[in-house]
Amino acid sequence: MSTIESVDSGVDVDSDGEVVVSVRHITKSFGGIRAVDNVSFDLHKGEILGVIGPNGCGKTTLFNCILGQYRPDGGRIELHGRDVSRWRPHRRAKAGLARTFQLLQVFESMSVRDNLKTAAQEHMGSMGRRLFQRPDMGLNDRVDRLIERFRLAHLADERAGNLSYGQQKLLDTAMAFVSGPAAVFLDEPAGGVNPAMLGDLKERIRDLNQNDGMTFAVVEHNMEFIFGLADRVVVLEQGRLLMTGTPDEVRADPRVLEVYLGG
Amino acid sequence: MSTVTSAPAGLGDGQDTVTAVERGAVSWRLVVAAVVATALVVTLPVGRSQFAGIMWLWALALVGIVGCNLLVPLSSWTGIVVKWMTLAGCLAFLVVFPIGRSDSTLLDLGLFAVFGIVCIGTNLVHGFAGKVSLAQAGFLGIGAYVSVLLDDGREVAIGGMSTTLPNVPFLLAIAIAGLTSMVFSVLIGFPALRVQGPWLAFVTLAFNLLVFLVLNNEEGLTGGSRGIRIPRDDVDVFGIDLFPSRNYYYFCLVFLVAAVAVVWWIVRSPWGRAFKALRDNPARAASLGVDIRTYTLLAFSIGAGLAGVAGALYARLIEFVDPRGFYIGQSFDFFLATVVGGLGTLVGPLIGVSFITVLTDRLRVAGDYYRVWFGLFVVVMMLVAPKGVAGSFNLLRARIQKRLHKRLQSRLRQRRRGTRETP
Repeated sequence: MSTIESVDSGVDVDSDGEVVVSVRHITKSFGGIRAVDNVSFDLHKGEILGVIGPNGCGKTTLFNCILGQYRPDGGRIELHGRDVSRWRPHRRAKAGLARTFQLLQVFESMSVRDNLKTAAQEHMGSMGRRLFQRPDMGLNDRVDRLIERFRLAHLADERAGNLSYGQQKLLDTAMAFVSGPAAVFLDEPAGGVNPAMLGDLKERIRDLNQNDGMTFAVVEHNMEFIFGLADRVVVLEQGRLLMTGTPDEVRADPRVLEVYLGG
Repeated sequence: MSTVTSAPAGLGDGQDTVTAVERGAVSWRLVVAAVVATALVVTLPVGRSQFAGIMWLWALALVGIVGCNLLVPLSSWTGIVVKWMTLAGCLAFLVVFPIGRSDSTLLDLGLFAVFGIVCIGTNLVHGFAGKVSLAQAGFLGIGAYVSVLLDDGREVAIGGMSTTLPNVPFLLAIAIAGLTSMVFSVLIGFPALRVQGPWLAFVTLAFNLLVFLVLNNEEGLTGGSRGIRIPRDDVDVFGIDLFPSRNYYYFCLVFLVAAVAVVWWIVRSPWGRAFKALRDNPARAASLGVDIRTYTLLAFSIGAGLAGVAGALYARLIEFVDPRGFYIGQSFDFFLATVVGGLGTLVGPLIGVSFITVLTDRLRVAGDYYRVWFGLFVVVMMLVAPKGVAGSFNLLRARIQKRLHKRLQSRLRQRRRGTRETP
């Protein structure tokens, strides 16, 4: 019961700023297991929201429900107040919900440039028009700027499959931004990235957040990474929302300590 | 793949005058060599010369063209010139070679053109969009029978009802054949979209079997296993009589070139990128806004449409249709030809098709064992060159280019050192 209260307080406390994505009472079960259980929170414009919790607490399932890879058993997802719960993933993506996956996902046989063009092209014009447009669709400048920003310029024409893991990770993240989305959902961006590149990645995300006003929700295991990055943190435990607060509040909360150390 | 992506290669963009001059000199020599080789390939076989020396020269010229293509950097101006010239040469060859050939050779060439259209479609579906379709022979059959039924005001009977079908001009019949195949592909595409990988292959295979059974058993509509004779003598298009084998071959060749052009346009357009994204990683593609359902159906129906058009051409080419020509074995042949030729490349399917058409005829000396040899050949190819002939060619070129580039740079470094020491 205490979870329900904290849900409500979570919504109330941070009601400053325009709500971009609103998650309401999302529930998803696999067989007898409730992977996500009545989770609600808001994602505000221009914030970085961290989503943490122990292994198997439903973070990725929650993301999959929000972005359409799974159909939740109950609850609603709203984007700028519009119910998108029944939309297929590509439609949500076009409406402005971008994401990365936990496991790295780039189009290996294509060049770095073509990966980014693919990520951007579906947001422009109609399908019929796209067949008769110039192959680059006038995206070269935008793509090159992003490549520059992610420090991949020397690899722009390289096959994505030939890149190192860390470089592919950067490309994967860049692909989520190229269409100028309303909110970006990053699933473990720091996973498998070496400590030297971690700071770099954090810098990229913060740069996009502060200079471009990009909104983020980030699932992460690396506590240090998320506490140093997020404005606000949502803690999940066994599919339920444990608490919402600033990094300092979350760090100091006895319930969180119990989940991570005691439980 | 690399022929399609048009990104400039990173082989130094002439920042250094020495490299530019040096590369320029090499380029010119290569272009001249390619011109000579192409000219020889096109002109030497003219006139049915059986003189062994000429055949050797011809083989040499072929090797020359391939060599030139291996040696040029893909996206430099030399590469573009040599590539276009090779294409023009191949086309010229296909135009010139049939002059003075026998009807049986022309039939083989016609089969090459017709099956080439099918395999270009297969390649779009499988090589670019990554969906296995084993129903191409079924779509070929649908196209063939539609075009046959729309000729001569045929009377057909289905389930007790009988009507007389209209007599439709050949060109229009070809278009209707293609469209009918497309409609069928969308109809089976919707359920087939729910399955992936091998299961999609089974669904398409089952559809092909279904087409075969309908063609075989609906005697009132298709004439059943006896087939339908469909002579070509009454066909002319824009006043050109298509009865002579050579004329009809050229007619098919026009469609082949058009099919290649259409698929080339599609794969280099944004659609091509979406197809490749679909092939590499559908879940990621969807999360980036690619409507995977629509794109899959598009690829599927374009492939089927091409097969349908090919079917209409095929019926008049062999002047006879019967259900056995559209059995699942034929689908496997198209599949193997495309894979052996090189999935995801533009010329690959045509190379593969030449194996199953022209070479079939040349290897007929092997008699019934031909299929055994072909099977062995496919097995060996898949072990040695899993990317097919064209794919291996691209890999080889990349390797050679890398080595050439390295050598050029080291020579340049030496020269720089030399100039620095002299004063």
